[in-house]
Amino acid sequence: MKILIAEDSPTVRRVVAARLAADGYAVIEAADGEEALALAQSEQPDLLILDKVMPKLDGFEVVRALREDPRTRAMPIVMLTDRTGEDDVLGGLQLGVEEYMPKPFSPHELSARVRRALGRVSP
Amino acid sequence: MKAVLEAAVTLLTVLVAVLMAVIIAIRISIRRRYRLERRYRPGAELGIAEYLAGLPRVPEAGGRSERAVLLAVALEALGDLRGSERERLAELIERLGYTAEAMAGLRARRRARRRQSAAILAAVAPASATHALTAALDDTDPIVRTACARTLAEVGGADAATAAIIAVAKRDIRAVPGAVAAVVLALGIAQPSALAPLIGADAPPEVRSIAIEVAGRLRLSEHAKLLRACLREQDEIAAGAASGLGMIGDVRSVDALMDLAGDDRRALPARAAAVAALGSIGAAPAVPLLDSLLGADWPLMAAAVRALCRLGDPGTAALRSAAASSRPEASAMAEAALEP
Repeated sequence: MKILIAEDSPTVRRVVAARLAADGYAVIEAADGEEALALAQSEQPDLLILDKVMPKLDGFEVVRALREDPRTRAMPIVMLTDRTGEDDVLGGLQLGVEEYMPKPFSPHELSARVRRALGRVSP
Repeated sequence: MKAVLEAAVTLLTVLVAVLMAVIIAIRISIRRRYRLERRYRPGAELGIAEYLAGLPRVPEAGGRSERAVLLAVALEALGDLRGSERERLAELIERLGYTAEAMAGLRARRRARRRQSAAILAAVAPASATHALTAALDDTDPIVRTACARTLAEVGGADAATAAIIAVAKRDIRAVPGAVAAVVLALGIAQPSALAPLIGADAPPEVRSIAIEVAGRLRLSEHAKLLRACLREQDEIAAGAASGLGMIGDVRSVDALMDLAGDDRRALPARAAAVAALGSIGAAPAVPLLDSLLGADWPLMAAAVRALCRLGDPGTAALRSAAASSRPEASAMAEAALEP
């Protein structure tokens, strides 16, 4: 299965990528919102891990664009972010984000949430 | 006159030349650092990421610059991680000798080096650093002292260290209040009983306010008795203590809070805090007092309305009565509060 990680911090991106690669997933990476949207549409990953605050395009804008596109409407999304205010979490869930993971985070826990989100769409 | 003018021009020329040389040197140094960072960073990120993912290879760094980049990347990751991976990374930082270097750095002559060392130890919080951190509580720089005090509070240690941490909080509150707040919060989380000397009347009022707020927000019921005693003190301390007792939900403080709320010689913020606390505690006996405050000044009335909303049927009855009354402000506020 293929997972796209969109995160502007290269350190966090590499940590998540290495964890998921060790779990056996194929991983592609994006460093900003625009790149994330383009890769999500062209590569059609099975799941997207998305930072809320990113350059060029905000995480919520990426989710909105993906939900409007029939090719990516059902793509499960895990939001990984340090924005954990009520408005942020509710905003994400309303847009159709499957999981909301606050930073600081545990890569092991993220891996479990990814498995759960993928299980929901491919029983 | 001409000679003086020439001397001034020469001096100015030399000064400009020196300034330009300094600027060029700084730019070269920044560029060099940037180049080294670009060269070593990807390797450091990959090494740490793979190590955290469980690969047996330990990230390595040869030269000084490479080691500095590896540490910077490790500290960045440490800030974003929790759980077993965070512990694994903290162990790695210690194993690679960075914490030993930081402990030695706390004794450096240069203040910047001591501050940097204190920041590294604060990020990693290694138990092995207790001795070095305790010694640094006597540093001449308040930023170093408070950073080490906070780390020591998190790591935990002997009673002697706790006494020294408290002394730092009292000493540095005016110089670095934000850093002291972090020390007090760390103490409240790791060693709640240690907050008592900071709440008591012997501590500076600024530290007391922070300690009282921490005790309330962390709901440290063991300090309720001390907070109750604070209700009789100056208004600012009393207001903080009332809020804290409300957050703790201390039923035994209801009478004292009612005394404060009804005392028109006290400042409005203190009285409003007492009113809010009565609502948080769910003090039904306070309903008549709160009802009487519906005719008071606006902040008190607003607090009383909010408190009555939290007091079940007796509170709702008082709000209905106020809504039907001829007091226009109280009536409007009560009506708004009763709206579903």
